[in-house]
Amino acid sequence: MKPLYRTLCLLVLVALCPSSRASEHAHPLPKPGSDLVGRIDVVKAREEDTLVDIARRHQIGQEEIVLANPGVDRWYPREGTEVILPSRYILPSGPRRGLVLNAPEMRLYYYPLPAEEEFSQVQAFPVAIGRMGWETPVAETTLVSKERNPSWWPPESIRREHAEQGDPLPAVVPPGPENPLGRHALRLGLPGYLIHGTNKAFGVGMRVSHGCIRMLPEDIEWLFERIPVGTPVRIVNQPVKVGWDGDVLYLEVHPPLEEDQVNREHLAETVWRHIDQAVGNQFIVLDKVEIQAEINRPSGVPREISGTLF
Amino acid sequence: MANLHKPTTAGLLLAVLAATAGCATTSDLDALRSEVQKANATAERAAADAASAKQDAAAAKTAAEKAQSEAEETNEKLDRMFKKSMYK
Repeated sequence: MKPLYRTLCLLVLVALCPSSRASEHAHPLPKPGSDLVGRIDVVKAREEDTLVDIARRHQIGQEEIVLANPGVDRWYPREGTEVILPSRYILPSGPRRGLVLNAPEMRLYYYPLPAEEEFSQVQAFPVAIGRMGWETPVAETTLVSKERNPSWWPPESIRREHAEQGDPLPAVVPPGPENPLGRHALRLGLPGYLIHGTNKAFGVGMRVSHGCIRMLPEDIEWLFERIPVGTPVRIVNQPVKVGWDGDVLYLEVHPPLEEDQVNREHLAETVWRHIDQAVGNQFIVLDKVEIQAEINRPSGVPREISGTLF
Repeated sequence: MANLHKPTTAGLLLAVLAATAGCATTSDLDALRSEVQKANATAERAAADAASAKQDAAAAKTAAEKAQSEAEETNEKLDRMFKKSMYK
C-alpha cells in the first residue's frame, strides 16, 4: 500500500475512534531510514490560561511545554500569546517494539504489534518519572500484570518519608480519589515499579514520582485496554537524539537527568558523537549555529541541523 | 567638556582681539566676560544635569534588573511549589 494512502487511512481511523482520546498520540511509523513522527502545533493562550492549563488541555508534559516556549511566562502567558505544542519527536534509538520510556524526555513510546490489515504506528505519551533520589531505573523488562482499580501499598521507605514530613500514610490506600495510582496499574518485571494513572494529572511531564511511571488518566486507560501482558519494556536514558526525516537531519536535546551531572562540554561531546554516528560517510553541510543553540539551551523539540551549500 | 571649552576659547579670542585692536572699552570687556561666565555656568549646569540623568538612568536600570530578578525568583518559587504539590 502506498505510504500516503496508508497515512490517510490511519488518520481516518483515528478520527472515527471517539472513545480514544489517547489516539491523539498516535503516529504512523516513519518509513525505514526516517526517524521523526508527529508535528508541531501552535495555539493561542487565553487570558485565564497558564502553560500548565494548556499542557493539560493538549496532553503535553509540563516541563516540555516550558522548554518549548522559552519566552513565555508559565504562570501568565497572556491572552493571544502563541504557545508551541511540542508534539514532534525523533524516535529513540533501539528496537521499535513494545514500550520504550526515554527518561530525560519523560515520554513513553508504545509500538503495538499491528494486527492483520492494520498499520504500524507508535503512540507517544507524556509521563512523570522518579525524582532525584527516587530515580526510575534504566532497564529492560516486561509487563508482568495489569490491575484495574488498584490499592496502593506504600513501601516502608515512602511511609517513613511521609512520616518525617508530618504526613503519615496508612498501610494501604484503597481505590478512590485519594489513591495516587489512579484507576489502572501495569506492573513491570522490576519489583516495586509500576506504570500507573494518577490523581494528580498536572504532575505528568515532571520528575515527581518515587520511581514509578505516571500517565494521564485517559492515557493509561487507553493503554491498559490494549497492551498485552508480556510486552517488552525498555527504559532508556537518551537526552540527545539525532534522526533523519528524508534527507534532512534533526537534533533533539532534552536536559540531562540531574544525577548524571552532565555539564555543557560533556553534552556537546555527546551531541557531536550522535551526529557523527547519524551522518556516517555521507557528505552533509551542518548548521553549527543551530547545533550550538540547542546545546546551550535544549528545547526538547527536533531542530533542523542540516543545511545547503548555497 | 567640548561645550565648556567653546565659550572659554571664544572669550579669550575676543579678549586678545580687543587688547590688540585697542577698540574695545572696559565695559565692553566686562560685558563680554559676563556673557562668558554665564555661558560657562550654563554649560556646567548642563553637565551636572547630564551626570544626574546618567545616575538616574543607572538607578532605573538597577531597579529594573532587581525587579526582573525578583520576578524570576518568584516564578522559581511558584515552579517549586507546583512541583512539590505534585509529589505523591
